[in-house]
This record gives sequence, C-alpha cells and structure tokens, in this order.
Amino acid sequence: MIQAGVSGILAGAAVAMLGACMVFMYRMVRVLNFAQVAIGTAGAFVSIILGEHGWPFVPAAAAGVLAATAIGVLCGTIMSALFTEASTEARSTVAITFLIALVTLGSWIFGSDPRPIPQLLPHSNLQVGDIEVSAATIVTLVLAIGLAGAATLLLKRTRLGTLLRAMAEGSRAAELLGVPSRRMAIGVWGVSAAVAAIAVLLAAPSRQSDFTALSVQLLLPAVAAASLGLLRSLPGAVAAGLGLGVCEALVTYSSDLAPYADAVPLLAILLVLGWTQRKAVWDEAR
Amino acid sequence: MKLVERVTGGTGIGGPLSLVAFVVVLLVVPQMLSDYDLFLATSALIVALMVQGIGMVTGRAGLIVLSQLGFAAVGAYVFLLMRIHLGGAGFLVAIVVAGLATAVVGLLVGLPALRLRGVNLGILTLVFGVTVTVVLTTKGFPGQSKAYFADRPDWLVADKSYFYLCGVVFALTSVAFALLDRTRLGASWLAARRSERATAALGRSVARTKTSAFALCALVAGLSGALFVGQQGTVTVESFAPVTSLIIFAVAIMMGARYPEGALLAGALNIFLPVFFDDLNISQNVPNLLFAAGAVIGLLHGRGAAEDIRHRLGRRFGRTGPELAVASADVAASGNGAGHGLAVRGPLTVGATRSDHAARDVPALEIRNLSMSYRNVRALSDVTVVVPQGCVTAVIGPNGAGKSTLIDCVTGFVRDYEGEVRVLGERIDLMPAHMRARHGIRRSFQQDRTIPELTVERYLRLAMPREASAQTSPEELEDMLAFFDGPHPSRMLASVDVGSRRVVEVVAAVAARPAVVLLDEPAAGLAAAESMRLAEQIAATPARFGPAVLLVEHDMELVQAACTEMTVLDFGEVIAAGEPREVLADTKVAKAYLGQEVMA
Repeated sequence: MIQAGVSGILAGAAVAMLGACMVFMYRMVRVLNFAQVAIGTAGAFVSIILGEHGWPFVPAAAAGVLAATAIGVLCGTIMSALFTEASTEARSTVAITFLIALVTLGSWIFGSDPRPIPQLLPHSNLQVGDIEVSAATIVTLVLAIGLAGAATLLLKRTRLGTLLRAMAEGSRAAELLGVPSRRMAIGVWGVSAAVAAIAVLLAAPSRQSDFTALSVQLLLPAVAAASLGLLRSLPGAVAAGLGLGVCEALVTYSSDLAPYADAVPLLAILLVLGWTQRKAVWDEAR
Repeated sequence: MKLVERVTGGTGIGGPLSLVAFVVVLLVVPQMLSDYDLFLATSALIVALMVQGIGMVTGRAGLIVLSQLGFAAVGAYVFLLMRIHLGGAGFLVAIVVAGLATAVVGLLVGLPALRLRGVNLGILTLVFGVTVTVVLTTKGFPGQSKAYFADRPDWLVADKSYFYLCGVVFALTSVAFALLDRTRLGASWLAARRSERATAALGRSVARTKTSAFALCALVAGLSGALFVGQQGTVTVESFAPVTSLIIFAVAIMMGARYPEGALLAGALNIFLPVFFDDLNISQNVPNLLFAAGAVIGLLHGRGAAEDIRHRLGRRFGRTGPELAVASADVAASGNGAGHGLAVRGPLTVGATRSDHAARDVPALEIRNLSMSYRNVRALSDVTVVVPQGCVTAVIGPNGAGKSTLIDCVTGFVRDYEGEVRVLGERIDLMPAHMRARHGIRRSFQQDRTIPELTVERYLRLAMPREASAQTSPEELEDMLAFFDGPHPSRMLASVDVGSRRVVEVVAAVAARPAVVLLDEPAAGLAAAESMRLAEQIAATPARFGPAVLLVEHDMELVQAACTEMTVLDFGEVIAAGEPREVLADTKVAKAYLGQEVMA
C-alpha cells in the first residue's frame, strides 16, 4: 500500500513539474498552454532517438531539452506576434492548435508505434525500511520542489522577477516602461518548454511510449494540477500534482478501481474547484 | 460600424430560403455520389451535428467546450443500451432518447460552469471527455463483446435513406437553434457572454442560460453519437478519442460554428479533406495541420470562414437582418391584436407598472438598517434609505462612500449583508439577483453592458417581462426612446455610440416597468448641457412611466435638478437625509465633500 503510494510520487512529481510550468505560463503570459506536455514530449523523443543512435545519456538529454526549448520559442514567437492583445481564452485556444500540430507532427515523425524508452537514470533504489524508492523518484521530486521554489523566489526577490511580474500585469504598459515584454514572454515559453522536456524524460519510462499517448496521458493530470493550483499558486500546483500521482497510484493498487485511475483528475477538479470557487457567482465583467 | 451591424444583423440570409436550398441539395447529393462518397457525406452530416453543439456553447454563450466526442460517446452508449438491453426500442426512439439522455449529462457538466469560467471550463470539459473514454474503455459499449451489429430497420438499410435521415436531423436541429436564437433565451446566451451581472440585472437567470447552452450542446452531440453507431453498425472507444474532440473544436473555430452552413462546412472539411489528401497520396497528417492553421486564422479574424462569408454577403446585399421582424414577434404573440389596444402614442399609463397593485403610501423601495463588510472593512453601516412611489431619490457621497456597494446589496449582487430590503412592502433579501429584477428592481451599470449583437428594440424587449413586452407596441418603445433622446429602435446596438448605449440601458430599466429603477452614475461622461437634459428626463420618469428612481450620481447640478429627496453617504454611513436644499446646507455634508480644512 505504502509502496504503491511511493511509486506514485514519481509520476506525481513529473506531473507537478508540468502543472507548475502551466501555472507559471498562465501567470506570466496569460495562456493555459495545452501544448506544454506535447512540447516536452517532442524534446524527450529527440533524446530517445539520439540515445538509440548511440549518443550517451547527458548529451542526448541536453539536445532534447534544447529541441523542446526551440519549439517553445517558436510557439511563443507565433503567440506574441499574432495574439498579444487577444483574450486569455483565445490565446489558450491557440495553444490547443499548437497541441494538435505537435501531436500530428510527432506521430508523423516518430511513428505511432510504442518504442522502448531507456531508463535514463541509473536504476538504483534506496531502501527505507520496507520501502524502495527509486533514484528517479528522488531526482524528480527534488527537481519539482526545487524548481517551483526557485521560480517563486525569482518572482519575489530578483529584478528579473519584478520585470516578469510587470509584464504579467500588463504587457503593453510594461513595454512602455522599457520592459522588453515580447522577448521576456518568448523566454518564458522557452524555459517552460525546457522544464517540460525534463519532466517528460523523467516520467516517460513508466508510461506508454507512443507520442500521442504520452502527450495526452500526461496532459490530463498536468492541466488538472494547474487547475487545482487555481492557476495561481506554484506550490499549490506542485502539491496537487504529487497528490494526483499518489491518488492514481493508490487507486491503481486497489484492483477493483484500477481501470478508473484516470478518472481521478475529474473528481479532484470537481471537488476542489467546486469548493474553492463556490463564491465565484459572477464573472469579472461588471 | 456599419460593418459590425451587418455581421450581427446578418442572421437572415435566407432563413426559409436556405432551408429549401438545403433540402434540395440533400435530395440531389445522393444521386450524384458513389456509395463510398455517400457514406462519407453521411459522416460529414454527423460531424456537422456535433459542431453545432460547439456553435451553441462557444459560438453563442462564449464558453469553451472540449468534450464533444465525450458527449457523442454517451449518446452512442445510451443508443446501444436502448437497442440491446431495453429490447426492441425503435430505432428513431433510441436516437431521440440517446439525445435527451446526453442532454441531461450536458446539463450536469454545465452545472460546474456556474462557478468555473474561461480556461478552467476548458480544462473541466477536456478532463470530462477523457474520463468518459476511460470509463468506456473499461466497461465497453453494450453488446460490444457479442459483436452486436446495430441493425437498421428495413426502411433505413439503404445508405441513401440513412443519409436522408441524418440530413433531416441536421435540418431539424438547425431550424430549432435558429428559432431559439430569436427567443429571450437566445438573447440571454449573448448577454451572458458579455456580462453575467448584466444578464441577471435584466431578470434573466444566468444559471438557466448557461446550463441550457450546455444541455443543447450535449443534445446534438448525443444525437450524432447515436447516428454514428447506426451508420457504422458497430463502435469502439477509439472512435471517440479525446484528441479528435480537439480537432473538431479547431475545425469549428476555423469555419465558425454558430450558423448551420458553418457547421456543415466544418463537417464536410473534417471528413473529406483527409480523403482528398489520401487520394493524392499525401499524408493523412496534413489535414490536421491545416485545421490547426485554419483555427489560428479564425481566431485572428475573430470569426470563422463561414461566418466571414455570411458577413460579406450581408454587406453586399445590405440586409440589416430579420431583427425587426423578430423584435415584433413578441408583439404579435400577444395575440388577437389585444396588445394593440395600448398602442396609443404618448405617455405610457402609470397603471402598467408593478406599483399598480400596491397602495400608494407603501414605499417603492425601502432599505432598512443595511450593514455590510468586506472582511475587516465596514463598507455600509446601518444605512436606511426610503424611496417613495412616484419620487426621484438621490444617494450622493464622495468616492468610496459605499454608494456602489449599496446598489449591489439592494440588487442582490452582494448578498451577505445584514438588514432588510423591501420592494412595495415585500421583502426580497432571500431572492437572487435575477428574481429581484423580476420583482421590481432594475438597475443600470457604470459601464456599457448592452449586447452589441441585438437591435435596440430587441434589447429593450429582452429587458421587459414577457407580458409587458407583449403589451408594448413598437411605437411606444420608439416614443420612449425618443423621450430619452435614444437611438432608433431598429438600430443594431453595435452601431450605436457608447453614450447612446447607456441611454438604452436606462430606457431598458424603465421599460421593464419595475417599482424602482436604480441608476448608477448615468451622467458619467456627459457634457453639462446633456447632463441637465438627462436631469429633466429622470425627474419626469416617475410621473410619465411609473417607476420611482434611486439615483446615484456625482454631478451635483444633475442631482439637484432631478431629485426631490436626498441621502448623503460618507464612509458607509448616512450623514444626512431629506430635501436637497436642507441637506446641501448641512455642514457635515460640506465637510464630507470638501474636507476638514475648509470648515475650520
């Protein structure tokens, strides 16, 4: 039981990273990036292919992260060139078109057959009492919490953070104050893409491995985590991601409910948002 | 602005004519197509049906819905359940039941939409769609294990007949949606898209507006799911992949799904484009990329291709749309010309208002000991304001005095207050905002909250209770608008300047014939001369049209000219009340407005 919960932390930590990325992007550049996971998956696949061609782990992973960053920058450039003034809903719909394009291209280029994904981290386990914790779990967990913490500190404490928050408050107004909004927005896309690629690389070995399945499977808990973080809180999204991972693992562990593990996000969203938003009777428009 | 007018007024290129055209095409198409193409054309109709649902929720109500295939899967499930387990349910019966059952599911999915908005709703619907497929992957469709073949009845066995059936269903839902667009509900969808508060202030239930959109969206998706099973014979969960939902959403955005021809084109494109590319030996992946790109273009233009064509044609032929006819439909519906008895030019009879049934000495609006806090900040404490019938009462006060909060409390947009609000003696504290509007409290907003897609007349009639609308002739509305220097009733609101739109809002509040109208800074942005003219109009409103007026305003000259009673708020407390002359002479009032030093 506990072992099952612990094994859920790996998936949960990757989801937490992806969810936190989405929250970060939502806050900074006003878009719910439905394509976040697909961008990360594209990067991860580049690494995998390079690994198949005999590249060692570190350069292959780095190349994959770079590829994801490039895709993120491309998406960000399109978004800020065409949809700077558009509503958040419209921008998020554009992100859906990115998702469609990426999934289409991904399964076109990489094929739709599942491919073996090498375990990228050494397969060593840590023994704590009766419970085994894999190295990947620890690395992912540390990364998820560390990155969310770093991003929070960055926003609160640094000059770059102040500039980012200025951009988030009003891109145009910040630009008038000399904040390079457009470049920073594209930067946010790039950095989030890189983090997403790392998250997918860490989670991939324990998931289905064709491009579409991987993109969609991780997308669901990731958007759920972002949503449970109220699209506002990075620590909230991380906690939600971990919680979802553990819950899904526990549901999978109880064999009766196992097939319904993927329904956990829906229940979580309904319960948590239903409660936190219960007073949101009216929309913003006055 | 002409341009916008045409877009939004252009609902009527054809109407019955386009229905006839559709039927002709429906009859001709099967004669020209091969069996395979006919099968594809049927698929296109089925997808078009699903796209119509997106046109309902996204195109009209402005909400994101990413679960069309989830709904379709529910429809397919119910259809098979009816055909197999509830033995021998007729084919058509099963289809209809599948649609209705899915509508119920849509209603349930729509419930969270009362609290979740924007992208959160996108997330919820996406997750819902995926969950449906997850559950169905495990449970399977009824009869799946027995390789059930959804046998069609004899008269539907031929592919041609099945194509006709799908066409008829599509035509019926198109007509139904078009007719709904002309109703109050149809206007409410557009209203809720602009502002939920303004929708409730018109006396329309936001909950009903949003959930009905979701229910109708799910209804057509459920029908399409059932028709899909009937067409394919058998069905697997793979047919309802969540990514396909996203692609259909993209195609809907690309073509514009609000009107039938857009849905039809989206369906055709979704089905035929991949086949076309396949024939050319080009990868099946290209169409999906084109759909994504097309959706981006649609988003850039703010409307899909079919909507764009409609708008261009509308401009070409100079139609202002059937809005006029629509607006008058309410009048016609009043029946047997009974409504025309009131079509007398000149002032409306005072007796037509709600005040009619109440004794003259009961106040139109009574606010007793109203207190309200935002966390630690006391916004209002123990405020009492009484608005007698037939009077204009003003509430004034410096910025931050609590005037807007007072209006929000009284109209039900802020509900956790203490104290009592009575309209014509009836307590309304337990009522939600839209019920208060129906019980005789109407308000205007500080910002323009009119609905650009409607004509002035249709907006006014949306604001009026059904009976009042039926009893009011177009001439009366025209007179009323003229009295307030408003625009002509046939104008599209999108083509009216912002100042005039605010006038229309005031007229709408008055035309609803409530007990009291709350005007929130109606003169903001008006020039001095206009403002004085407005003061005269407001002063004359109770006698001429019936409702008492509670006026919240900064403009002292306007207030003095318009009102007979005055209450001054400062820091949430009433510091003076009475006749304007006395109140304004009060030193406390001068102090509140001008600051301490002046008085020293």
